[in-house]
Amino acid sequence: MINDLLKSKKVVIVCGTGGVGKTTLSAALAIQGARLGKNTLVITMDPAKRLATSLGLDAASDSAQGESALLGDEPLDLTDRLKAIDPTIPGSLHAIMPDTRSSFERFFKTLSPHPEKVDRLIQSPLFESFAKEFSGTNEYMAMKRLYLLNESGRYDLIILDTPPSRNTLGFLDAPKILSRLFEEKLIQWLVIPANKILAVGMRKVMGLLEKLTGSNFMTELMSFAQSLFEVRFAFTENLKRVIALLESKDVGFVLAMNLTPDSWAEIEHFVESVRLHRFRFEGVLINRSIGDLAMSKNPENDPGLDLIQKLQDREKSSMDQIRSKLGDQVLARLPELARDVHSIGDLMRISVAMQGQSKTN
Amino acid sequence: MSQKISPQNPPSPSPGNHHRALADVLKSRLIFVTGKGGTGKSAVSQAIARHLATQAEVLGSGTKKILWVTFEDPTLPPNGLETIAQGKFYQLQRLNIDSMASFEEYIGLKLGLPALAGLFVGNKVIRYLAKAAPGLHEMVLLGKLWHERNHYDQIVADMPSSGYTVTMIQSTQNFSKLFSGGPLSKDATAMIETFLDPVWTSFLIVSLSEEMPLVESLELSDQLRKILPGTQPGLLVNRIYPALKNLEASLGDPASWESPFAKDAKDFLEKKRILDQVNLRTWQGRQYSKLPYVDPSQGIAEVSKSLAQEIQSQVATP
Repeated sequence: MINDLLKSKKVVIVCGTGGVGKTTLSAALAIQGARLGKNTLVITMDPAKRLATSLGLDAASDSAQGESALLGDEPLDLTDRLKAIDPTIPGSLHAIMPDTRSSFERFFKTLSPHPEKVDRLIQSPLFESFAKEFSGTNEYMAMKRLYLLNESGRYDLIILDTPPSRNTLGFLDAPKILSRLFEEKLIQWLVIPANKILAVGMRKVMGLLEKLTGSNFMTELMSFAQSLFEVRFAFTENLKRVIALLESKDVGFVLAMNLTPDSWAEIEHFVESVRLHRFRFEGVLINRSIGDLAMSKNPENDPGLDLIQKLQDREKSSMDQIRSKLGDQVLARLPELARDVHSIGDLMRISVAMQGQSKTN
Repeated sequence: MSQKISPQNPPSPSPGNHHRALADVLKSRLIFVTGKGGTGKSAVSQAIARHLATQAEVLGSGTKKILWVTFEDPTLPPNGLETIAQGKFYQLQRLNIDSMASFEEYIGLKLGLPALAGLFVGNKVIRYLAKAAPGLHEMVLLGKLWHERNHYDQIVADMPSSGYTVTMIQSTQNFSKLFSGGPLSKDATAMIETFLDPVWTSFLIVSLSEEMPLVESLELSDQLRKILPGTQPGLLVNRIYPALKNLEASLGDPASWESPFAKDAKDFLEKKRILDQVNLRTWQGRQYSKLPYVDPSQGIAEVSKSLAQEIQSQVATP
């Protein structure tokens, strides 16, 4: 099932809340892609750099190979590391961790007709908090980068590990939230010189705003709005192209999740949201399941085993519901691991388990 | 297996204990419970609120008002307040803070005239700014909690996950600078002062005994200490599996295991115990508390009651 997905799509977007193991699953999907002969890239937006850790790209192993072995803003070729474990792997593996802050600056500069003004804007504390904190910018930059990397034609398969968000829909809703920021009519109110055409009511409101926030903020806000106003067409054009890619049949969305009593509600919500965006829902990846841990036949009156039994019962009712509704859209169900993933070797074992052809135990 | 911290992640967590003990954390008036997603912040924060409330029952000195705060829980009414437990000497309430409702409330407070506030908040540019302005949303959420501080003996907040908690405080700080001079700036500055004062405010970072959450917790602690110098966030490891009663042969170091998968439930529990020990070295030399994995099948309210008892017993015995 996983293989069908990886064979038929050029881009697989892995959504899910924090802590479900999205980054590990994304990396394992990419490795599976390489095992199927694809030139594969995994993009992670995780600020916690989990991908670097799970790929084993850390100080100890990289000092000998210098800067080039660090995961960063340019794709890093990991094919040799993969082939060191299994030389028969026909595809390639690359990973990238885009720097959203600098790419957001770059993005503004390329869009703006006055790059020198952008330099000034970037110094503004308002921009600082915008680039760093505005919900939607990270997601948007991830999409933009995905678009460019896909356009480059260098990869047959791109796996996008979406930025962590408060809920599973964070990634899907980001363009809508950002578009609202660029809503022309509204920015106009802020950009057009105050005394000219502002209606009495609006002038009053602006006066109140200034009273509350101080004049300094109003100046900052106007110049920020001016910059947004200048790049609005370019932004909208960019967004259209990105959305066209996301809507195309080459792109599939999957939901990574852990099993809880709320799982089915989460899936329903996600599926509906993907459908409304006219994207394609391909299935769920269930991670950290303890359902397959065999219990001993004789009851042992052990608190740990009792807890596991209860957790398994809880999982089972949730799993039964999901299976009955999704059928083979349950792409894989992976167990809770007994150790943290630190190597391409362990990621490979996960991709083998994901494929469901053999058990590595 | 040694603990590895990615080199792309400088500065690595500062060594040494900058962490308040749980009993000390629980003394502050505002207790912010944060941590990575999925670590059980909701249950732990609710457990703390329950513990503080029932503690009042034990002490029996006047009626204690405890507030448990959630942020923008879509299943609860915006700014909805309800009593979730009550005793002879305590009242435990839950408030679900919503940013739009709080924004309107706050503007009404600042502008004095309700009609003026209505005109202001209803204005489309203001609505646009309120939604689009980076950080405003976050500051308003914290601002509402801050405004409640004098109405309760103690407030326990179920904060959003790590990065978002930092954003909330960072935004408040940004706005205190951005809005120089205005009344909003004055409030933002006062908020930061409250958060800097350990008598008023404490942070508790909830983690699991897994590598990334443990490392990220220390990074979060450093970030909080950077924004709020002098802060000593408490550390807590949640959901520790009970150890197997009958241990079989020693399994050695996790790196020596053939595969990351466990063979069966017993193997999993035993490996988990070893892994916990290895992983918790990340927090070596620091003060932290542990809470057991409580059967979740009865729901969060029941889990929080069990955890409250556990907290009770831990802070009672020094």
